[in-house]
Amino acid sequence: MEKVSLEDIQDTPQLIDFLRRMIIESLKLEDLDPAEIQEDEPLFGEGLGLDSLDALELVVAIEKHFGVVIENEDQGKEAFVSLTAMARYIQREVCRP
Amino acid sequence: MRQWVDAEVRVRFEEVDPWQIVWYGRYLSYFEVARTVLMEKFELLADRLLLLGYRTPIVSLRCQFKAPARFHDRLQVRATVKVPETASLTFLFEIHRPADETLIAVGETSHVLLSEEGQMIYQFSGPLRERIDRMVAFCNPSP
Repeated sequence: MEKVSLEDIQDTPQLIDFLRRMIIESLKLEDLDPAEIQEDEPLFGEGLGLDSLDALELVVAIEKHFGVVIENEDQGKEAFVSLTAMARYIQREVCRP
Repeated sequence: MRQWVDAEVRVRFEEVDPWQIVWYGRYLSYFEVARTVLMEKFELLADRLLLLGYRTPIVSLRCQFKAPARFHDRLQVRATVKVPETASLTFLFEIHRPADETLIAVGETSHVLLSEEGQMIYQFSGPLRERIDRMVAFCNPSP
């Protein structure tokens, strides 16, 4: 996947589009059409139905693409609610001095 | 080449089903015998991990049954661990019957780590990380 610029990160629709493709690539969900992942749909449990091992893959992908480290489930809970929540979390953490 | 640790099990009468072969669920206990040897070697047994404040529940299991094992067979059970790409541990297993050089089963289990509060750990750190690093280095020596 291409590198993400700081500009793209601030552009919420662009970032969400990138996150859709990142989720599909890192979780090997190639059969899924990116557009099928709704912005406000829960990523875990009901909704997209991801599990604990998927969460760990996403933690690594977010660190790789954005340099944002998620330490534990408590922090992850906020980031993994939905695509919108994940985008908001990344935008906030990237800007943290 | 991966480095494995070995354990021996002898199939007990109670482990054999009415077809005179080892019931499929028993293989998991055999895997656990070898995994225990590996974990003990690196101070990662469940009781030692609890002292550090961690639990390692299993979240995924795969097993392929290649040939039946029978009552009183002497089986060699082997375990190793993959290099983790995320904060999880994936163990690989093989069960062999050395007497006739038969591969009985191969398997894989994945485990996540939970803190005392039941929160999943997303990054290994501290003494936990040191012990896991040592086990991973032992099982996956660089060529």
